[in-house]
Amino acid sequence: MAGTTQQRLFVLVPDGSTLEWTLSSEGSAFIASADAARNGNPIQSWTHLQLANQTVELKPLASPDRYAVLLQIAFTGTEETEVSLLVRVIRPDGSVHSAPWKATFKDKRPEVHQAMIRVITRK
Amino acid sequence: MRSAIAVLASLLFAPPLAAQLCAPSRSVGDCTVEKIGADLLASLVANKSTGQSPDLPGATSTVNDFLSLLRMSLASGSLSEGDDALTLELNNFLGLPVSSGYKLQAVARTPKLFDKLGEALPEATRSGRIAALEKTLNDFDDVSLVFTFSPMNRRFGRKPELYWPEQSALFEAAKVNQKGLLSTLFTDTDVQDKFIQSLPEDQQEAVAEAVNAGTVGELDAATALRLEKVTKAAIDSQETYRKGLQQELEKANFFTFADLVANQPQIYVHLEWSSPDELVGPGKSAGKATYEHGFVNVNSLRTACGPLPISDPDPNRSKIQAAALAACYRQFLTPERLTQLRRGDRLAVSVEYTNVQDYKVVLDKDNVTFELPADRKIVGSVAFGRYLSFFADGSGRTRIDLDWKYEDYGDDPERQDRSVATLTFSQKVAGDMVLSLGAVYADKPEFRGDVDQEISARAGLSYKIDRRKDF
Repeated sequence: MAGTTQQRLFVLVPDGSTLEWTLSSEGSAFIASADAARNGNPIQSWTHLQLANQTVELKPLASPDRYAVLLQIAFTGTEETEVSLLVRVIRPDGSVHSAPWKATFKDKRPEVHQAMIRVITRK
Repeated sequence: MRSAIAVLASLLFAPPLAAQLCAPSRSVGDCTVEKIGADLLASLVANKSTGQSPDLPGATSTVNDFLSLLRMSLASGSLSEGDDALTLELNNFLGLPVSSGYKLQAVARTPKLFDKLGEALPEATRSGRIAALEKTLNDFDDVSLVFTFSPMNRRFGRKPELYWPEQSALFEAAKVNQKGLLSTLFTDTDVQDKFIQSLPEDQQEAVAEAVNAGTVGELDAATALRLEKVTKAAIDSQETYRKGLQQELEKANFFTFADLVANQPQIYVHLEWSSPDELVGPGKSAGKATYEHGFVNVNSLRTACGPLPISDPDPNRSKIQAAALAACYRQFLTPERLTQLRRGDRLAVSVEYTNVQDYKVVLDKDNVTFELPADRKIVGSVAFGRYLSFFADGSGRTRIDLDWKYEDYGDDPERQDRSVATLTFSQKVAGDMVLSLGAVYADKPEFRGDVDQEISARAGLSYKIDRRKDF
């Protein structure tokens, strides 16, 4: 889809797992924010300034729950730019989920890009 | 030269070099991020109307992008070795934040005999004597100290992160109108999750991975069909939300804020001292201060709207501030200001001072006494530039740069004060091809310089076509 970046990630994990996602600040020519939902209902939002520390944790995950985090990025640059997102799901035993995920956004101003991260906890 | 690195470092700067690299309190990632950020910023600003040098004889740029000049200063300290010079640079030696935009460089060049002194040697023995005299020079006989300063704060400089609070507030204000749609989006995408959860547990992982990898079509036909249906609904909903947000941001002129940042005033100060061995040349001190101004910028928004938010921990207060800023920002961006932003009006003023000490060398063996008087020069310049026309996509097509320079030689009886004015038109013709046409006028014929077409003794025209991405 031209001019659109929609990245999705489903992760199925055991109860009590932790979702961490990190917006790598590979550049300053963008503004981002994130909104989280649990079972379809918005529960939390982060502004760009709150993302500045680069890691947000959603925990603990109860069961059975479906979590969604929508990350939105608006480029303010005029050159093709890359912004990366790294998602980690940490199981209760401390092991990191085997599907680390990275999204790359490439485009020019004005453009809004989205990444949707989904986590479904197992019973 | 390489062996001299440690010596030079210890001679000039007491703290160990390691301490000047990425500070212990900062992660390597942070340092890397700053470097990448600086590169991105440079690309952002380079695409604005910063008026790069038109490369025309006699012409000068309207303005320069100071950030690119100071890009390396975002690293905390470095040593580099070129073919002819060893450079040690530090930018936190005063204990000020690195973001203050300053650095001190010590540059040790390979010492060579002063050209003019070499020419004064008897021709018969010249080449041999030049080699012999250069052998007497040591590694640090041609060292310069260079100090550069370009403040980076919320009044000066074009680092986008300095203005994140405002950008974030405008972003959040635009999102408020999308609030209802956000709930719809989450509900719609939830259907996709529910479908996966409805599958037998041993199939869920594989189906989820197929969705992540975009290989739903490879699943069994029945599952793929049902999954594609709910996936399409989820994607459509997400796309509706994304487009809606983009429209809200464009309506609120959110993306224009980057132009205000790119128009922030900049100050650039460059000071240089050198006191080389007498065989290398005369001692010299020089300085240049430049101020660049874009007319519609974050500072003028601040004047119109009052203090802008930095960060309020109270989310409710934060929302009120964001809404107030967005409302004021809307009023601030009048059609006149938007036109000015598009034109990229820029003014640059600079003052330059150079003082070369008097110079006298007596070479008894060659029976040569070589002397040069002291030389002092002050140069003042004013430059203005803007775009005159645009392509359909909004990028600049024609640009005009006007530059006036005055050189003052004080009481030097051998040189006259002079004034030179240059007008440059730059026209983008195709791709990166730029056609430049320059007109130069000097108040005294001898200072007009070379031109392609002479109009009079004092005036001439220059033209050139070249590839320039940074038009």
